[in-house]
Amino acid sequence: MKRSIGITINGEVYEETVDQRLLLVDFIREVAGLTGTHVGCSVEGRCGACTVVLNGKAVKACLLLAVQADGASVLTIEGLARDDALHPIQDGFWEKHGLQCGFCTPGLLMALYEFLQNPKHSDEEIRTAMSGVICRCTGYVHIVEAVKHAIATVEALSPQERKEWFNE
Amino acid sequence: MYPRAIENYFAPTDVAEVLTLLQQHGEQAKLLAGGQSLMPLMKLRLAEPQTIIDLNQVAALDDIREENGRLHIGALARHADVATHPLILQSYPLLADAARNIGDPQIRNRGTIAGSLVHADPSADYPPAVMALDGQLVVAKADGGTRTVALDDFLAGPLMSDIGEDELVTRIEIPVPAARSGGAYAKHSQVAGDFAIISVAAHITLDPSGICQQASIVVGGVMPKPGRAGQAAGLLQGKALDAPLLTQAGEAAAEEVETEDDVRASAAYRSQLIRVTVPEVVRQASTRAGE
Ligand SMILES: Cc1cc2nc3c(=O)[nH]c(=O)nc-3n(C[C@H](O)[C@H](O)[C@H](O)COP(=O)(O)OP(=O)(O)OC[C@H]3O[C@@H](n4cnc5c(N)ncnc54)[C@H](O)[C@@H]3O)c2cc1C
Ligand code: FES
Ligand code: FES
Repeated sequence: MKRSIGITINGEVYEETVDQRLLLVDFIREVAGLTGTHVGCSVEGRCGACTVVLNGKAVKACLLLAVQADGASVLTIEGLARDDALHPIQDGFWEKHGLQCGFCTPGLLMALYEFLQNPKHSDEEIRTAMSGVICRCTGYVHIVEAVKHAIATVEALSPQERKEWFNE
Repeated sequence: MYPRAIENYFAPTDVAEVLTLLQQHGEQAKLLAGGQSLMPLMKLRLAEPQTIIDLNQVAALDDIREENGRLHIGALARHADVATHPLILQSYPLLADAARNIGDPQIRNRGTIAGSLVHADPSADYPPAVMALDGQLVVAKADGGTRTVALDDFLAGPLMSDIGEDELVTRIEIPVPAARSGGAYAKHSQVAGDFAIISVAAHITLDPSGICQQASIVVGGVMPKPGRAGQAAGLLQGKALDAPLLTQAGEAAAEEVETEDDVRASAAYRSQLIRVTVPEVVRQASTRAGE
């Protein structure tokens, strides 16, 4: 029924004995206390608000059991910025007003984090990259602008800087 | 909405271990692959497994390669990997089309080909594509045996497939297509990332002069499972694929494939989508066959 697991979130190990049915998203929110990862839909895994990066891949944390992430490395919205500097994707959203209420934003940024490591440039490809997160406010136009801003920032980085921003 | 309590969680690392666990836990157990269908079902309590056998740590179950004239796709190959695999893009583009059309990037990072085929949603993207390529599933049994079953026979109905409680799909096999073959897949859905209202998969082989030697057309988004448009495909055989013939094939497919009303669309709208989509998809398939 219960199992002891350890999950590295944003570089810090969280160890806990959890119910085997506990969802990863609830481990992140309730056990680790990192409430930047949101929950927008209770069942179907459609909204994407819970998106985190698991071992380098964007996934919906409401469709995984926490026990499945035992020993894994997770990056959440709280792990994006470094000291006072915003991550290039955060900076893009800041500069281009990529959010309104902000509910979808953490999930969107984590979905785009994977995309930005190997970005494509067309509007269509950008829109595909963000298609797993539903935004109720913005109408997406400013988000596309924000992503383009972020792509330009990332492509101007030195290889060393790139590594630093994309090393979970 | 939360899954019912899970008594046992196992994360085996090889196939033999999976089979032993299946034998021990049988009907109480569920295999967990990408979880992109099973987890929602567990939250809805439409699935209430006491035991979860997580396949994600099983090594070498996600291999994609050609062997003895057949493409082998490991059960655990993720949609994202199939959509971008060089061999699949080169020789089986309709599979890449289908994989790319599934859900969204996060779903494609987790979801697996065997999970999709076992789940057997009549509106899912893989089933029509794999049927058009005459795909088979290789199934390992807890007693040590294996069997091979054509996807046409494996799909039994909506969310029903021919898988036993003591069985594991280990891979999907597809015959390597003849020279001058090509395929394509297209889907119509209400919004991006949704299941199909109608989808069409076509696989075509041309002779050196451009005459159609062999054709298969499969329509998804219909009940109880994807349907073969055999008469439409038959019309193409032995002929040059010109526009009037493709229109005729679209008419024939709309006629022979039965459609139903549901929350997503009416039967009439579905038939109309079949009528217009079959010619487009066959045209794209034959263009690829000629390349
Ligand atoms: C928001 C959302 C949108 C989606 N959109 C689409 C879409 O547009 N098109 C589409 O086709 N699909 C869509 N899907 C479904 C997705 O493709 C799933 O990945 C797929 O249906 C199931 O694969 P899975 O690996 O996640 O399987 P799971 O959910 O892990 O398992 C599904 C079933 O298969 C069984 N199973 C899994 N692997 C094996 C095996 N190797 N041997 C025997 N049994 C096995 C499990 O026990 C379970 O019964 C969507 C899902 C979500 C959440
Ligand atoms: S909470 Fe909506 S997709 Fe996970
Ligand atoms: S900013 Fe409000 S949901 Fe996206």
